Amino acid sequence: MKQSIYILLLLATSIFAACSKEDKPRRKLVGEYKFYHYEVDYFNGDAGKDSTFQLDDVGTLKLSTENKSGSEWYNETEYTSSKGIPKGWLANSINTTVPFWNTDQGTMKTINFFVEPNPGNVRYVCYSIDKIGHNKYIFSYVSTAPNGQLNYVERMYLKQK
Amino acid sequence: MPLKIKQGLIIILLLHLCHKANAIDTEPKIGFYLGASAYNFNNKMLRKSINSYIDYYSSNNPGLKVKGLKTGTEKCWSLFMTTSKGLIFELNHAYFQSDAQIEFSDGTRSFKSIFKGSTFFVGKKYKKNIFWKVGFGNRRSVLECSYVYPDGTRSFGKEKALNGVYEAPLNSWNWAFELGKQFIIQKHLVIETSIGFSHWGRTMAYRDPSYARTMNQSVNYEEIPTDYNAFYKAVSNYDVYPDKDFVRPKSYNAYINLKVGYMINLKK
Repeated sequence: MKQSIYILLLLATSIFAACSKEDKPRRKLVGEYKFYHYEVDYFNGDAGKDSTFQLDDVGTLKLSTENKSGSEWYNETEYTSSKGIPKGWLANSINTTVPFWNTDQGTMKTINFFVEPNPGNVRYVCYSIDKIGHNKYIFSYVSTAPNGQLNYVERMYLKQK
Repeated sequence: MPLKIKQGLIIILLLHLCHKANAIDTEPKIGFYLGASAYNFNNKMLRKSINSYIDYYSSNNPGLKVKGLKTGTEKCWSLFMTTSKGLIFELNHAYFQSDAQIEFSDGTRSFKSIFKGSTFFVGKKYKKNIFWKVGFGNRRSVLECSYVYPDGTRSFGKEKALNGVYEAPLNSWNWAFELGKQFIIQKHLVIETSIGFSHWGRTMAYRDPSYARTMNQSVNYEEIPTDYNAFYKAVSNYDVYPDKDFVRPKSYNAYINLKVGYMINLKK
């Protein structure tokens, strides 16, 4: 009898574990972040890193979602800072502090910020996500020259509140 | 440090040589394992795709080679139970990864295959604690394509073609067969070694449905082609590239496994 209960428990746990956990990256990313450090590494062709620009206590970034069923795209961003808009946003014509955002639904490695000023005219920028500690992330954007060499790497250091 | 197949085999051999045979163990037990596996990973479509990628880019980058395409590692934990008749029930949760890398002069292209999920095993234990198990379960399949620059920055951004997180739209079903031996070190401590064969498969291709990816791209890599020459030719001629020729998470694997476990007797 005791053995049967354990077997049933194992079976129930296996069924539970097999259930797909959709939308997890988006739910994990939603929240308010302290934008505590900003840096841009500039590169000079084969010579390597040329200079670094840094800022501290930049402001806040709020990623929210209405969590509509089936809606992966229309999540809202609210960026608050007196120190300007991130370089990657500007380079891709995201000239606003309230773009939309979405993340991949695989392993939470990318976040796209985008705007749609007119229907069908979408401008976006894709950042890579690195988790560097408990609730701490780096959003990084890489810009390359036409020959493929690094132009600059922008990093936003964020701590989820 | 990843467990290599040779190192794993040496550990298993040493355990067999050093350990005295146990008496027949007929007491029902319950416990958990922590373990690691070394894999011979064989996703034929991914291999074909990477070889085709190398062929395509070799004209401008002679001497390109791929590293880590056939190997992978897995870490796992599991709950298990053995009955007085030697039946084994085990729920295994595992995270597998294999990272194939191609070095270019300005960085490294990485194709990281990830399979994460659960397998439920049923098996039988015999004299000297030799056992077999068969398992069935499902796994999420993700292929992370990134580019690592010389300064160490890993980018999934759109500055390089192919970058992105590709996932099979549905979990892949998997089955596995294992043959191994348990070493009962102490009353509660057990080490399990096994060799196994597994198949992960699904007919649907890896896909990155990123909204950004579909915008104004001259070549849209929503899926990963197995033949780059044919893919670019089809794109430039506005032809259709066949669906069956995109990479899928289907692989046949051989592996060795080492687990350390804690168990308690159900009969006192």
